[in-house]
Amino acid sequence: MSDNLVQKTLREASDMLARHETTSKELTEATLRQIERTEPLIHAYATVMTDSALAAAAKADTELAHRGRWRGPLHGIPVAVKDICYTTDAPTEGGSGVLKGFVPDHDATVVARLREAGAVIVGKTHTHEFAYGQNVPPTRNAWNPEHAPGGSSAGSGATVAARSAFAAIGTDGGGSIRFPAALEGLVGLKPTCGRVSRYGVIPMSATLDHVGPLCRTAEDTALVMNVIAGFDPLDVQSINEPVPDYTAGLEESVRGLRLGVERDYFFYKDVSPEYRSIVEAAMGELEKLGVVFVDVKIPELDLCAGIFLNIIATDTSTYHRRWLREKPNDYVQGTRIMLEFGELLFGTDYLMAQRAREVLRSAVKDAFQRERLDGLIGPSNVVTAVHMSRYSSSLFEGSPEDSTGALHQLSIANVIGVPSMNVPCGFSSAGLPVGFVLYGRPFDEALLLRIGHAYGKVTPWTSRAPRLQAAAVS
Amino acid sequence: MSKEEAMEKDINAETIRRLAEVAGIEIPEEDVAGVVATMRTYKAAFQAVEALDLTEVDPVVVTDPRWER
Repeated sequence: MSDNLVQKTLREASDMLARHETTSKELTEATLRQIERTEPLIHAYATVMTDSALAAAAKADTELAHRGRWRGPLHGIPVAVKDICYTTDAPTEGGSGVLKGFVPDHDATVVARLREAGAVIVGKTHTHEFAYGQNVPPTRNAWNPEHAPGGSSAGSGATVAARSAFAAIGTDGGGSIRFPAALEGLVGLKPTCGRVSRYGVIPMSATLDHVGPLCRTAEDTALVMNVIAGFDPLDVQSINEPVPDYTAGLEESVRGLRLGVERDYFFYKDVSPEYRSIVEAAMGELEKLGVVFVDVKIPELDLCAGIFLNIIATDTSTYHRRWLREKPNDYVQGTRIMLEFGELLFGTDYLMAQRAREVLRSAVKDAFQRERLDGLIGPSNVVTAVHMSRYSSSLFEGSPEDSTGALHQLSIANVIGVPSMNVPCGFSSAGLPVGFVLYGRPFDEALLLRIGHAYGKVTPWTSRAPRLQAAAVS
Repeated sequence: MSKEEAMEKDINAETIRRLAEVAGIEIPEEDVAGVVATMRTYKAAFQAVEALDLTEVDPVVVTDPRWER
């Protein structure tokens, strides 16, 4: 019975805890057993924190049972954290030999907030080296271990899909939460720039990096956002805007909401016919719920690739400047080439990119205002997860089937700072997940969650489990 | 000469080695071809930005002068 606990959503598990139908110890032990079963296949974890997780679970149970203290819906819930978020009780290596054995002396703000909310951190999940996407971590897709998990939050996506964590924290510098979420059939939210603190998270770019959740449902995502969102004076990019209760509007109707469709950009030639048709079918379901689609033209979206590549390369190379000179051979070659390349870009190009960024931001804002849009919608990727034998995680090379197609669909939100979310919307004929991406107004994560929740309630996709999981439980 | 041919002529191993020298970074020979390919891809993507007149556009760089936030 207890192993079936991992099949619950975060909300269901939390409700069971609150009703004393289970304990955090049971949930955590079931999760650790699931990790043991699934790790040989999917390799989601860089570090499994068995001892500290069981201690945190015991503390959560004591608070609930003896003191009547309930910290909220994440109290006692096992979650995972990407291995670029600082943790004082486990190494933070960022998938790199450069930081081998590094144990920070403080938690990242996102980790501290999870702990304060009573969450049980069960482990640190694999990432591409420093989230820069230039090596292939050992992680595999939970829906088919012969296929790629996406990145860079590869382990965070795989573990939630495999039911070896109820939620996971990822980071997103150009799509790295939404890309694995799309490939693993999860809801993945990149919040507005400044909404969730990046303090204590190994950076790539101060203005492109974001921290956010990967969960099975929009409701679970809202519950995690309620804990991790909010101003942090320790993060220079953090913005002091009021934080809503993200669950409050979930049940509101989506009737009359207007979503823009930029067909030339989001439904471009590289989107496979199958991926396109599944996303269009999902749009049909949303239309039945009363969502209105508006064709829009934003030709400035074509600027995104040049702007993004310049800023991500320059910022990341700046951060790694000292290590690149002191220990270049501790990087994998692909990452090192990217860092070397970033050192050769001109300062004037960087400021050109920052100016063009304003052009892009204004164009999107104008389209929202002109067409009275609540959001934009498009496919999250161009194809489903590719076979590992054809996978390249290069930001600059490779085919649209791997990272470059996802970057095209997703990096706009990083460049202009708006919230963006993957919503699982079906499966390919090969049984691999498909997702659509929503873009919203700044600080309007709640609206994206409302749309994702409404869609999730009338479709079966978020309740499906990978066969890997079914085999593990039987 | 096509754009691609012009780019191959302009961005080659020798260009990268000289840029690296100016930047004060040592790029091992085994990495040079990768940096050349990366630079070519980047330059192709950046052409759309270079085509803009950005004279009157302020960059997205924010300075917050407050001492306490």
